[in-house]
Amino acid sequence: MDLLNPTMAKGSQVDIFRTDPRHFDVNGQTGPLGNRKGKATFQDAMMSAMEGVNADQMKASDLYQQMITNPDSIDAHDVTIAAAQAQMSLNLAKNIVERGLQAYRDILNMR
Amino acid sequence: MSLFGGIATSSSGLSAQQLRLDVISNNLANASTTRTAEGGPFQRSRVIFRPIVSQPYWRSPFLPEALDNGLGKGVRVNKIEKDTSPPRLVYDPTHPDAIKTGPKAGYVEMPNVNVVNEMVDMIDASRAYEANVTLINGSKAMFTKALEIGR
Repeated sequence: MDLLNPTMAKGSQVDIFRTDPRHFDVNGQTGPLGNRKGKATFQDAMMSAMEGVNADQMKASDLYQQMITNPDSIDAHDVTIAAAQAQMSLNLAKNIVERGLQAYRDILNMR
Repeated sequence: MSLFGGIATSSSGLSAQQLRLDVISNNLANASTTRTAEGGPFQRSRVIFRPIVSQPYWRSPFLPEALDNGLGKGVRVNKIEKDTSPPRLVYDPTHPDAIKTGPKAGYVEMPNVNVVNEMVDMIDASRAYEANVTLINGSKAMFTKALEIGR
């Protein structure tokens, strides 16, 4: 395989390959460095961010339940701080999604 | 330094001040307790605090001590120790716990809890609690302001 082949580039990404036969992997093949299964897409980044937000919300609702069922085991400020953190991460995710959509709309409106 | 790092630090401060308030309330509730399980009057407790520092894995001998620790992570309770000051002596021969014999006959050993000191400590603890809460609100306001960049 020829690194200078223009078909090896995808947009602005040029993969880096091992060329020395002593650096090939177990099957004797070469491949892109990093051993990623697939490319990280915007969707993957978005889903992992949403999972983080969801985890914060679940933590806040678990603390609410614990406060109701076992009020002696929990401090009041833990509950309110978890609620504030959930609200903050949701705000952040919402803003990032808004900015992404705004960029998309700007590009569409380029005539 | 992370998104919620300052808030976690303040949260540790809130827990610490709340524990301190609980200890003070225990001291005040037992301000007249002359009989305890281990004998003698009630002894007031005190909370000792310690900072939470991020310990480096390896301490360089060439670096001065003050530069090693970096950003702290809050406060933790070191221990709750009993105050070993001598108890207050009150003359009351009719009390069932009065000392029967010796030079202090007729005196009752009351706890070494000074109610005025405890009230001042309580005010201190609640002001520190409020200060931590204000700090958390300030952190959240700063974060909300950051979301307005480029709006």
